[in-house]
Amino acid sequence: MSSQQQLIKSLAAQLKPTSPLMNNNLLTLLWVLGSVLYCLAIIHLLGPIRDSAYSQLLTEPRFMLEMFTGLTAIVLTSVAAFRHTVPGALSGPVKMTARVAVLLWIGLNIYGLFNPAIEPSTEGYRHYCVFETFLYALPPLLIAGLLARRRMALELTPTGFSLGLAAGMIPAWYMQIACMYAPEHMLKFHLLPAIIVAVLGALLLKGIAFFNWKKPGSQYTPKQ
Amino acid sequence: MSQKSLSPEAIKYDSGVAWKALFQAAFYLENRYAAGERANVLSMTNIQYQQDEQRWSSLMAAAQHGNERDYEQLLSELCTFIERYLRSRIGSHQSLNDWTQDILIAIHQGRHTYNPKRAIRPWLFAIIRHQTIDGMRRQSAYQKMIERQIEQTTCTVNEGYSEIEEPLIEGYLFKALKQQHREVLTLTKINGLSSREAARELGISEVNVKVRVHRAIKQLKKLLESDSDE
Repeated sequence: MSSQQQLIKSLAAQLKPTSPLMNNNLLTLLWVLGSVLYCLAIIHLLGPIRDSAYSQLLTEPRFMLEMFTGLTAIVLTSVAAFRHTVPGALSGPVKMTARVAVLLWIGLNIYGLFNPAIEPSTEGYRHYCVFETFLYALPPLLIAGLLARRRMALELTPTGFSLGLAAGMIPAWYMQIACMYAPEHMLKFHLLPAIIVAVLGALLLKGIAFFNWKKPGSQYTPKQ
Repeated sequence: MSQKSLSPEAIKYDSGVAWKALFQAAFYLENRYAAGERANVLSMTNIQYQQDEQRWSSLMAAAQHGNERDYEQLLSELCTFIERYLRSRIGSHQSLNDWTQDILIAIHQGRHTYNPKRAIRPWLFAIIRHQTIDGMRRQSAYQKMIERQIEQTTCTVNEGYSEIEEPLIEGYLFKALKQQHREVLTLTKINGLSSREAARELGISEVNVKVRVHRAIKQLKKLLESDSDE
């Protein structure tokens, strides 16, 4: 019997039934909803919200567009990230659309440096917004990591980065409403922590893989 | 009815036309036959493709419910398929068995992630691609392979270069790589030379070797992706 036949025999021996995975889109929807609600709640609970934010949202179309693009970027990045945890589930167009949405959101804010959507002001300034953005993103990231652990992310770094970016963008996005409006402030103190969380996401998945991840070929030893 | 007599030129001309028509008819029939054959082969391939798809999908669904016999059949079929797939693309060198086994193990570990409502090939090819590239990156496997080859051929690594490279040339994806990428991959990943040794061999800097290896693997990954998409 060849080594491959032996391997096949040993893999098939005492095969246990597997429980099916939750649908990717449903999982993404639940995670995004849960994370957004959690971030909104904690931001509202732990600090004041800029007074004029909601009225600006209704009266300033550019600001509305920025917020809408941000939310779209969060949803699409989450979709791409969770699809990345199942082999072959992430298609090129979805990946590309998510990237474009994130770049568009960042692009709109960079454009805002020269031509701001609303008049920049220090109204609603939160002293620790940079730390808040970072810390509030951690629980959603951990939950995403745990959810991904049950799945099979083949490319750990891009998957972890996408999960981290999605988690980091949620508080960064809502800080546009909660904190002062100034594109430079947004890029430095809201978006930068989100990118740090994305890097942390990549490290988290690598870390989980290092300790007990079901990385293909890393744990299995065929029966002799 | 009077019969018109034909001049020798006219007869010659008519026979030329007849031969031409005959050849045209023969070519036409041959083309039709070839086209028919091609269509038959294509439809057979397509049928085979769909049959494999459906069978593997249902076998995997059964395996997810714990059916050992179906799972064994699936893995056996996939083993043959993967070996043939890799051999035709990468070439038939000795790591092929290791990579095939790694892929089977990955399929086993990730079997719960397959959704029976979807096609199995995108799922399967994602694992094959990833494991193959991962396997190429693992230096130790190559080192073992070289050691085995050295034992078999009882020659030094450098002397064995052409013999080791030969089976690689069979893989058409390797052929599609640039010459400099093929060289550097063969030296570092197949012959197991260090970056410094490969740099000395090629007469370029060590950094350049690393860059070329990185680009070669990236290119190979792209080729594998586009190949499996087709």
